[in-house]
Amino acid sequence: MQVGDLTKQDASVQLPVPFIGSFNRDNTVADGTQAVTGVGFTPSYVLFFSATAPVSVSGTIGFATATTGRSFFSNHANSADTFNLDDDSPLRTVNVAATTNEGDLTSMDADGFTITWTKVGAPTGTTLCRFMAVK
Amino acid sequence: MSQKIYYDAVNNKEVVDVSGAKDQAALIAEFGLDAGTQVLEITNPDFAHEVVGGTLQSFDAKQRGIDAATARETARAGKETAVKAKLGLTDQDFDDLKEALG
Repeated sequence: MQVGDLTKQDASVQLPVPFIGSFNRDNTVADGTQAVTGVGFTPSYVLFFSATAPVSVSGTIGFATATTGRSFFSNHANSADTFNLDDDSPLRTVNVAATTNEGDLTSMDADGFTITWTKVGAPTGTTLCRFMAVK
Repeated sequence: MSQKIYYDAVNNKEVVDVSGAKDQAALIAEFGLDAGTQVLEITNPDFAHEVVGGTLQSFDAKQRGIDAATARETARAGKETAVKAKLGLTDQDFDDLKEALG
């Protein structure tokens, strides 16, 4: 089945076009949940890109299903000119040494998904996220 | 596309309506948000939101990045000028020194 292709499928099994959107997280607020809603369907998986404002060498490429996530992230703040892999979280901000703000996708919801953010130390700035949700 | 951010400081919950079109009261009920939940609408894709002193507000993330880069460059150039003046170096001397130090 081809995602988003409305011409080759029976109307009863047509998949919606993936939803592309954005959100952001203030790294200074307390740990908690962030629900993203208005997507239009319950996603099967979500792809993420993130960067941190203001300018810092911090960014993530990640993806997640309802049960697990993975990411490739800049680890420059801990060790100059390095990247690293995370076998849990699709979003991971490391903009100051030994501090992180990790976003785990903790549920797929009727109209979107929920990220649970957990900090280590006192990260600063804002994590700017772009995503593509696929049914 | 606009989006609406709902910030519930009591329960540390945040909801982002990426469609910007959902009914506000229904959304607050759906996610069990506190009655004092703050709501902010963002229509400019260059803008993001933050919580300052407990208040939800928007800011120009793109411009903030430009400003931060400008401030860092100004600080770097200031240090360079001070070092050159202190050591009596020309621009060429300074470039040679940087190259020698790797």
